[in-house]
Amino acid sequence: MGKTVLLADDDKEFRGTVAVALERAGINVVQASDGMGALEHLSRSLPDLIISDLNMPVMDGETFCRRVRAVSAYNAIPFVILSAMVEMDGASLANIPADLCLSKQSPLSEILSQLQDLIAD
Amino acid sequence: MIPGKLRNQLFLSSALLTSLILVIAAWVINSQVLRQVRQQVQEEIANLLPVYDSVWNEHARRLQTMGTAMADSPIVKEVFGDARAFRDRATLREMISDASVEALVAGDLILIADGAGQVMLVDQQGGAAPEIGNVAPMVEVSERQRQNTGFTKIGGRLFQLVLTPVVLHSGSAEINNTMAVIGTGSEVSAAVASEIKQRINSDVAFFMGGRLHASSFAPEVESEASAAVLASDLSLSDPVRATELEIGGNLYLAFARPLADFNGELIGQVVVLRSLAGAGRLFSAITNRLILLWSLALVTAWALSYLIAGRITQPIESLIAGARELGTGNYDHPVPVDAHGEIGQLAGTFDQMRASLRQSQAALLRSERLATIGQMASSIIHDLRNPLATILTAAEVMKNERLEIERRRTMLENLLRASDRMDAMLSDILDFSHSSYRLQRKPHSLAGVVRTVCQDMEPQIAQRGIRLDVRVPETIILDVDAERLARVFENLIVNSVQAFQQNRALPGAPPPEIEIVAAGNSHCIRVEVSDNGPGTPKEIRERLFEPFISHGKRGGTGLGLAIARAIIEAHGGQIGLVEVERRGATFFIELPLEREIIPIGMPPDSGPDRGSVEDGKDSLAGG
Repeated sequence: MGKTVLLADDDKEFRGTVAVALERAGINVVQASDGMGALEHLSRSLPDLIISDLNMPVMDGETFCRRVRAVSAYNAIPFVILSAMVEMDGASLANIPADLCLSKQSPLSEILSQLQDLIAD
Repeated sequence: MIPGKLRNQLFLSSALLTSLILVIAAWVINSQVLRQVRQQVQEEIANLLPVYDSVWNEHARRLQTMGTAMADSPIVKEVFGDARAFRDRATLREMISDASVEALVAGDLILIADGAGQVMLVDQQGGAAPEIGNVAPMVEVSERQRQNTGFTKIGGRLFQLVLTPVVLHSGSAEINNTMAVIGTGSEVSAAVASEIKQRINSDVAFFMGGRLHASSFAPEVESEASAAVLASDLSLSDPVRATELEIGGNLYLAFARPLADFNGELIGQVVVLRSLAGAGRLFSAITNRLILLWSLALVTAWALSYLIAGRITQPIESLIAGARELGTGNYDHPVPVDAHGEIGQLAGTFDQMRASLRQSQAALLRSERLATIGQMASSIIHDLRNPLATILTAAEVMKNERLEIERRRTMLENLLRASDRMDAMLSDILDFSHSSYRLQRKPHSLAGVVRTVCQDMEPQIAQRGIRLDVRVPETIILDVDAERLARVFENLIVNSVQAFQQNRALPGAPPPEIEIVAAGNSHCIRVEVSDNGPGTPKEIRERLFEPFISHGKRGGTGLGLAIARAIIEAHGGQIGLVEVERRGATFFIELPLEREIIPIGMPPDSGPDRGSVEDGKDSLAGG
């Protein structure tokens, strides 16, 4: 039984590209274009991991993360921020209750291995 | 410029001060002059006294000579020597006229008494003789056998009288007999007063028993003079210390002299009144001259005050001008430091401050510019990183040789699209950095420009189910750079589309709609691009057209509206956000009709709205 990842990012191309990479690693991917869409998915089924961008319309990554942490049913799901802003806003990132913050610029293999570790737990 | 407030204050205070000093000095000098004049008059009066006394002495001498001549005349001796001689009045009058060596003057009095003092004859030249009342002095004179002079009252009238005894020598010197006494006198009247006045140039008044007897005053002021003298505290003891009196509106200095009888007893007094009118004229002449001098001095003092105040305040005014220039941010306006003293120092310090302000301002501008560049750079880098991440990831996925053909194609497409986006962003930045646009202006139909943009964007608009409503009259022809203007509309539509995209999940939102409406008059064309989206947040409304201002939008550089504004302003127009009550955002563009372009076949006065072929409800809505 493969693991499922919920991927929230408003950049369609990036989302598609990462989805292909994850699926190649044997992980199912559910996509959402912002935090609100991702919450809708959560209400239907629970994934094994959530990956979210920070800067998104309607509901940004930080709000989305707080919402997830506020609901006990979603509380246990590991939450990963994957953003182009990671190195820039170190201070504000510390306030987000995410399990892990990754840069979009990191090599794909590195991103994948870190995600694998979180799912394996 | 401040209208010289300080200068006026300085001028007023110094003018006031100099005026005060001058007025005080004038008062002091004036009173000094007055005192001098008064003293001079007093000295004059003191010099008058001998003259005054000599008048009476002259009178007395004439009377004495007359008396002596009569008493020594043989006729008189004969009449009184012979006891049997007739001594009736006619005989006596004849005797007098025979004995007189000089003619009698009008008012002269002749009195004859016998040795016992019995009055035998009283005659006055040219007038009625007074009733004789007093014989005592004559008896005394006859006993002493000596001539005597004095003032006396006879019948209520005042006379200066000389009594001379007629002595008969009978052989031996021891046996002398006073046979008679001859009195020669002159009446002290207004005529005498006038005579004295001529001599001493002062009015004279004779008082007897507390009443005015006669004076040199004109009859109309005489009673006033009398009242003034009687009311004053004139003293006989100190003739030089004169008293000031006012009579008939004139000031007088008055002093009194006694009138004494044969025994040296006081029977009346003479008051001498010296008019100050002459001195007053001198005084007023001096005063007039002083007033003239003082006026000149005051005017000069004021003029000097004004000039000095100007000299003091002029550097302050230029300092104010410098400070004001500094206040407006002009750091290059030098402050003249040609003033001396404290103000010069202040100006110097101020100029140093200006120089150092200019330096620090330049430094501040430099660091601000650097900060802005830094902010722009980090914003641009961040925006470019997203598509770059896609490219990197896609490339890495594609490295896997076992990737299915289908997926490989998807990756390639993603990669290309991300590259396109990066390219578009870089073009934006390049566009924006070329702040001055070189426009390629040509007459274009506004409706045509808008239609082209709508056609290009139709796929995006339709895909999102947005209804596009275009109402632009075909008749509007503008002299514009069509490619640039198209870019403006594209950016505005993209802005609206993105607003809807954010709003997608909100429940109860109306069907999305974008409206482009144009209208115009003879001066300008106004186009409004509005949507019924969520509208623009208040906090960024004012800075909406500044670069890098976007509210959580992805896929752009935040330069769209800034570029739109630059293009519209290059065309001499305006772009802005219309404040509307209803939902959504409305942007307006106003372009001036600098050169009116009238399409062939259109009358010149038909407005752009009239007879226009409305582009219809150019609905490009899909879905």
